[in-house]
Amino acid sequence: MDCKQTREFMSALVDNEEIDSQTKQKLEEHIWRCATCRIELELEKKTKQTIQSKVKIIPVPNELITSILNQIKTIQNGYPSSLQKFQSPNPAPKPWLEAAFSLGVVIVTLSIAVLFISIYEHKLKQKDLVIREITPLVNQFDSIAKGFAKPEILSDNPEFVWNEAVSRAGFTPELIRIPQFKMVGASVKDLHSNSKNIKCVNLIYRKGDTLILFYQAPLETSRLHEDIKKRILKGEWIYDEIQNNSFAIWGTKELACCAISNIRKEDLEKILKQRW
Amino acid sequence: MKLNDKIKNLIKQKKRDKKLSDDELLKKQKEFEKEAIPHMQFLYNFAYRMTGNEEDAKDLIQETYLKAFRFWDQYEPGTNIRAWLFKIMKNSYINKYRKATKEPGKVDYDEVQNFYETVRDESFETSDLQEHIFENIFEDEIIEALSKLPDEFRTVVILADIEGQTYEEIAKFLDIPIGTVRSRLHRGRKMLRRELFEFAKKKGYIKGKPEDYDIDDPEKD
Repeated sequence: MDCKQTREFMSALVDNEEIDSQTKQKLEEHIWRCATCRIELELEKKTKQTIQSKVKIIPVPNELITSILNQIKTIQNGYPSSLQKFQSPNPAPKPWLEAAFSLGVVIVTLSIAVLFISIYEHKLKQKDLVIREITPLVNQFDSIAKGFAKPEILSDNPEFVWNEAVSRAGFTPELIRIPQFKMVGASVKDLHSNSKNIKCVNLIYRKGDTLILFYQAPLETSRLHEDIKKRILKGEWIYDEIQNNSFAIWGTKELACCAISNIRKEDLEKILKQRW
Repeated sequence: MKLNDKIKNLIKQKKRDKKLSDDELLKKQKEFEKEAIPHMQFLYNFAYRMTGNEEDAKDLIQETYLKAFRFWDQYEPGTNIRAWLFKIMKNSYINKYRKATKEPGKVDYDEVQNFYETVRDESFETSDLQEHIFENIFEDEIIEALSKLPDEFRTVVILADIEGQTYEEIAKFLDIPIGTVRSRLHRGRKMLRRELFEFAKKKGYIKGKPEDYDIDDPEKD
């Protein structure tokens, strides 16, 4: 055995690791003869001893163990264990918090209800208002339609009706032609009991059984309620039905206009939209 | 293993994990704590000596244990758990540090080959002086000398001389034959000694002409 082969086993000699007896014998023979290998063996022993005696074992920091165990729990549960602990001792919210929350919900609900009611009431009021305003006119229309009343001007000649109406009105009404309808009559009435000059004009159109009463009055002096005036001034067309009659209220710049008919609201709307 | 297979395995793993009931999860956790945690001292010490600092050692151990827990059902009970954990740590270490250093082992390995050809380089004189250096050496000098060794030599020196593992154990940890453990350990210790000798020279522990102590110059032959 030579030096090179001996060095291959040198660490095993130092560490007293198992070497088969034949090899061990040859190693010992070589080392006994070879001073260099003998020194080398001694130095390696010293090296080992020095490392063993001087290099300390470093203890694991406790927080590392804790941290790893916690992380494993986190992986297991899908959420940190600390969070679980936090939640478990306090499962129900505090009573005062619950009460405050309920109160909040009640307040919000109530205020929403009040808001809805006020909107509804407003609409209801408006509807009532419109109906109150329109009822006299509808009654007038009804009595004409049923033959209980006759308009002052009655003629087969629309031109005559129109001229008569304009001459009595005291303002300039709008001449409205409704397709397929024929102007058959008109009535001109005092707007107010005290205003002799300014009047309102009702034109009556007819097509078969269908009658349309077309009311016009100067917006400024009309008896219309202020709320309705505001609405029609904004360009709103108010459609509704009353006692089987439909009606529409709208406005131009100077005139407040009304149409009443014994047809359905939708049909009235169609007819009026052809004109405007 | 191909990437596809790996992904399939991971999916299987996840599915298996999900099927575990709470009791089974708790059992798994307890089992892992009982089996794996006791080896943390050994692994931490090794990690500390390999990385040279507490922070990196902690990171390495943490990564190792979380990986080990994730793949716990791949561990066969009754087999060498320390070797199993060590291999996980070795892979983590290689992934982390191999890339950072420029293949340190390769250059040094050639050096070691040369060094092996050189066996008649020591005399009685120098050996006396060499023995002298061991008395004056400090722990941090050994640590520093150790850090200069290539990974494969450092690993066996730490395992054998600091952690006190047998060659058989080391062979299992590193998946190498016992003969390789033997020769690496011998070379590792010799390289370490040379580093220590350099320290001693620089610090003046040893007096005399430098060539008197130039015991181990691979360039010589």
